[in-house]
Amino acid sequence: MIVSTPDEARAIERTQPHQDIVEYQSADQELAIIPPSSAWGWFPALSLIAACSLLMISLGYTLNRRGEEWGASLFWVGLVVLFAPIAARLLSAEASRRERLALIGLLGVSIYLVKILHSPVNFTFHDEFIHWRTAIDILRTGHLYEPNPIIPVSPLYPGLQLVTTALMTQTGIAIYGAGNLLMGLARLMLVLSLFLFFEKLTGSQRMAGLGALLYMGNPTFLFFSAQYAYESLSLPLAGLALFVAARRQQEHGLTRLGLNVTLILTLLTIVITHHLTAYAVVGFLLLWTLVAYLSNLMARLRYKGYTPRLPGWNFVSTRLGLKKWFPASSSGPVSGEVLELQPGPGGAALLVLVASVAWLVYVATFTIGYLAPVLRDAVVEVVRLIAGEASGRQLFKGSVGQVAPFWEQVMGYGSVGLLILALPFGILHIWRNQRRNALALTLAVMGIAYPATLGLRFTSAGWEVSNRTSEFVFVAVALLGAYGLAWIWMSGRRKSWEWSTAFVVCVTVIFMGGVMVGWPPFARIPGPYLVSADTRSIEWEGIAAADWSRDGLPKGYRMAADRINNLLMLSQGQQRIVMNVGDGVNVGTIFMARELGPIEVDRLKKGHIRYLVVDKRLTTALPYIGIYFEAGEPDTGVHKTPIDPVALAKFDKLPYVRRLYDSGNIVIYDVGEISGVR
Amino acid sequence: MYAETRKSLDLTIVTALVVIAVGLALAGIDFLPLRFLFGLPLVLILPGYALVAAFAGPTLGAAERLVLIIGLSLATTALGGILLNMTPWGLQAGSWAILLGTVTLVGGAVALWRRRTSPDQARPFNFNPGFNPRQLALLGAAMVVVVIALGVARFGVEDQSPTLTQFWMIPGETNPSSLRLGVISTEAPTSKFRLQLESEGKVIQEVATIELTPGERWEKTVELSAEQSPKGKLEAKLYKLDSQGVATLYRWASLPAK
Repeated sequence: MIVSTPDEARAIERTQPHQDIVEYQSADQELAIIPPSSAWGWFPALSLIAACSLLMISLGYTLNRRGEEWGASLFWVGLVVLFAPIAARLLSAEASRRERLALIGLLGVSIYLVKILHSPVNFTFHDEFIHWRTAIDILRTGHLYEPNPIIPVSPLYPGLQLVTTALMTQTGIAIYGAGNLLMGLARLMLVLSLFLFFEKLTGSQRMAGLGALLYMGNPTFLFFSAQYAYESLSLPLAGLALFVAARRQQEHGLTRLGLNVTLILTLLTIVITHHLTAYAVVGFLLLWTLVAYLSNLMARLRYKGYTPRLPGWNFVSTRLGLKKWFPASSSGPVSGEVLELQPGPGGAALLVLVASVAWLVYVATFTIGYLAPVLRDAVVEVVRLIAGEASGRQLFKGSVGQVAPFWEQVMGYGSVGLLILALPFGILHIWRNQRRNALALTLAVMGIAYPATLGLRFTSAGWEVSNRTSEFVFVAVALLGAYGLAWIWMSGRRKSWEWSTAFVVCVTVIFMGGVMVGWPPFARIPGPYLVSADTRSIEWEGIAAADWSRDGLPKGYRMAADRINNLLMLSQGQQRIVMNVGDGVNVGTIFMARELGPIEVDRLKKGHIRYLVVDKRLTTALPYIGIYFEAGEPDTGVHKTPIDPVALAKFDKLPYVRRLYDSGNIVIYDVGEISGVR
Repeated sequence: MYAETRKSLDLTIVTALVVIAVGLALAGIDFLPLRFLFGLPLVLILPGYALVAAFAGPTLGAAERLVLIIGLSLATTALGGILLNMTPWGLQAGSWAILLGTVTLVGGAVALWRRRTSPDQARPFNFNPGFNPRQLALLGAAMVVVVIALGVARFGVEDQSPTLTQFWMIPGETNPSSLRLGVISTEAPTSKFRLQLESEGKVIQEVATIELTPGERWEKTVELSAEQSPKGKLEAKLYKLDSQGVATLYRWASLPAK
C-alpha cells in the first residue's frame, strides 16, 4: 500500500502497525527534498538522554573499581535509561523514517560506547589481545599469516587486521584507537543494515525499528560483538550482505549491477575475516535458495491449477478448524494472472560456498582442527545429557560457585520467555501474510532453531556455542519477535499509555535479560583485580611486566605463563608464547606441580621454553573462568583449592634457574639451562 | 558551467582529499593531526563513497548509501590487502595509500562520467541534516556529556593503578660478568632503595642508594671483577629504606652459580 502524506501513513501505522505499509516518503523522494528540521523529532533530545545515561554508566564503572557496591546499580539504571526512552520512541507511530534511522544508529553506537567506557585506556577482553598480536605482526613484517600461538586461526582470517593496519599506517594512531574506531563504525553499519533489511522485508519502518531493537537483545550484543575481534567485523558485513541481497532484487540497471558487485565483495570479505560467520552466511543463503526453489515450485503448481496438500490435510484441517489459519490458495490459473517467481540467492550462495571452501583448503586448513573439538564436545555433552549420563550445567552459576542474583535470573528467564512466547505468533504471521516470500519463510525456519540453541546452554561445552550462535539466529528471532509482539500488542486493542508502557517494558526486559545471559557478572563491570577472570585480571602490574619484557628481554625466545599473562606477553610484550593449542605442550603442570619432576622438565624441553612468568596472585583464589593456564591443566574447570604457593615458589630454589625480574606479584625466570635453550 | 561544477563538487573534494592523503603517506610525514585528518577518510570513507557514487541510482536513499559506503570501504581495504600481500611491496603505508587512492580515483572518474552522461540517474549525495539551532545545541550538549563520561571512565582506570616497583637483573648474553640492573617505581611521593649484590650471605658489592620519584627509572650496568665473581648463587637485593633509614628486603633477582 502506498500512501502520499505523512498523516495518511501515520493513520495506517496507528491502526495496523504490523501490516505491510509503504512509507509516505520513499528513499528517492527523501533524496530529492530537504526535509524539515522536525523530521529529526526527538532524536536530539534523546541523544542528550543517551549521553547522560553513558555518564551514569561511567560513574558506575568508576565506583565499582573503587569497591563501591552501588556502582553496579548505576550501571543497570544507566542501561535502562539508555534503552527504554529510545525504544519507546521507536515504537510510537509519530516518528519519521529519518528519526527512526537516527535513533537506531544512536542506540547501536551508544551501546558500543558502554563497552568503550568499560575499557577506556587499553584492550581488556581476551580475544582482543590475540588479534592485536596478529595486527602487530602484519605491521612488523608487512605480510600476512605469521603464526599466532593462542588462536592459530587468527592470522589465517586477516580481514580485521588488514583494515586496522591500513588505518594505523595512514593515520599514525595506535591499535587501541584504530581498532575501536573501526569497531564503532562497523557497529553503526550493522544496526543500520538490519533496520534497512527489516524494513525491506516488512515494508514498515516501525516494524524495522522494533526488529533492530530486538536484535540488540541478543546476548552477545553489548560486549562480545563489540570487542576488537574478527567476528565483530564480519557480523556487520553479514548484516550488510543480507540487506544488499534482499534489496538488489528491486533495483535495475547499473544500480543493480553495483549492488551485485557490493554483495560479492562483502561476501568475499566475510570469507577472509571470520570462519563461523562465513559458514553461517553459506548456510543461510543455501537455505534461502532452497526455500525460494520450493516456493517457486509451489507457485508453478498453483499456476497450473494444482494446490499441493499433504494427504488427509482437508480432513484434518476441517476437523481441527485450521482452515481459518491456513486458507486454501486459489486453484487454477486466473485469467490474466502472471506467474511471479522469486529469484533466490543461488549465485551468491554458490560463490560464498566455493570461496569459503577454497580459503579453508588453501589458506586456513587449521580451522578444522580448531573448530571441530569445540563442536564435537558440545554434541557429545548434549547426547550425554539426554542419555542421563551427565548432570548438565547449572544456569546462572559460575565455575567457582558464584551465583547470579535472583533478579538477574528473573530478567534472564523473562527475556528468553518473552521471545519464545512471541515466536509462534511471528511464524503464524509470516504464514498468513508472507508465505510466498521466500526470505521471510527462510527466517521463520531459522527462528525455529532458536529454542534448540537454548538447549545447548545446559552443557558446559555447548554454552559457548549457544551464545555465539545467538548473534546469527537473532536476525530471525528479531523479525519473528517483532511480528509476534506487534500481534500480541494489537490483539489488546487498547491504546492506553499503560499498554504502551507494558510493551516498552517487555522490549527492555528482552534487552536487559540478554545482557545478563550473555556475559558473566564479574566481567560486566570493571572492578578490583580477580584471579583468572579475563577482563577483571588485566591490570597495571601485568601490563608493566609485559612492557618490561618487550624492552628488556632478548627477542626470539619462547615464554610460558598463565592465561592472563599469556595475553599481555603476547600483545604488549610481543613475546612468543607456548600453549597446547599452538605447540602441543600443556604448560599448566610446569607451574602447578610442587616439584619440577621429569614430566615438567620434558615439557620445558619439548616447548623450547626459555622464560617463565609466575604470578603469585594465582595462589590467592580459585580461577573465575575455571582455568589458571589453559584447558587440559590438572582439575580443569573443577578446581577445589587455589594453586599451592609452594608450587610457584619452587623456581626460587632450583639450581640453574635465573630470577630476572620481580615486581612483587610477578616474577620472570630464565629456565634456558633446564630446557636447553640458550 | 557553474552548475556542472557544483554537481561534481563532492567528487572534487574527494579527489583533493585523496591526493593530499596519498602525498602525506608517500612523503612519510608524521604530523599526527594532519595524517589523521586525511588518512582516516582514505581508509574508511573515500573508496566506498567513490564506488557508490559510480553506481548508485536515485532509488538509494541516504541511509542506504551510508551503509554501502562504509561496507565498500571496508571490503576494498580488506580484499585489497590480500592483493597487496602478494606484491613485493607488501603492506606498507605507501602501498596502502596508492591502492586506496587508485580505487577512489577510478570510482570517482566513473561517477563523474555517469553524472555527465545520465544526470537523472547519478545525482550527487545530497544529505542535508537540516538541524535547527535548538537541535544543534542539544546534540552539542550530548557530545560534551559523552566526553565527560569518557573522562570519568579514564579517571577510574588511572585511579586504580597500584603503587608498583619493578626490579630486574639481566646478565650479558656474551659476558655474564656484566650485569644490567634496573628499577622503576611508581610509589609516591619518593622512594628510597639500597641495592646490593650478595652471594652466600655476603655482600659482594654495594651498588647504589637510589631515590626515585613516581614513574622514574634507574638503570646501571655493573661489571664484576674476577675477585667479585661469586662462587655460589649471585643475588641482587633491593632493600626499601623507610624514613628512619631501616632497610627491608623488597625485591630480588638471582643468577645460579657457575
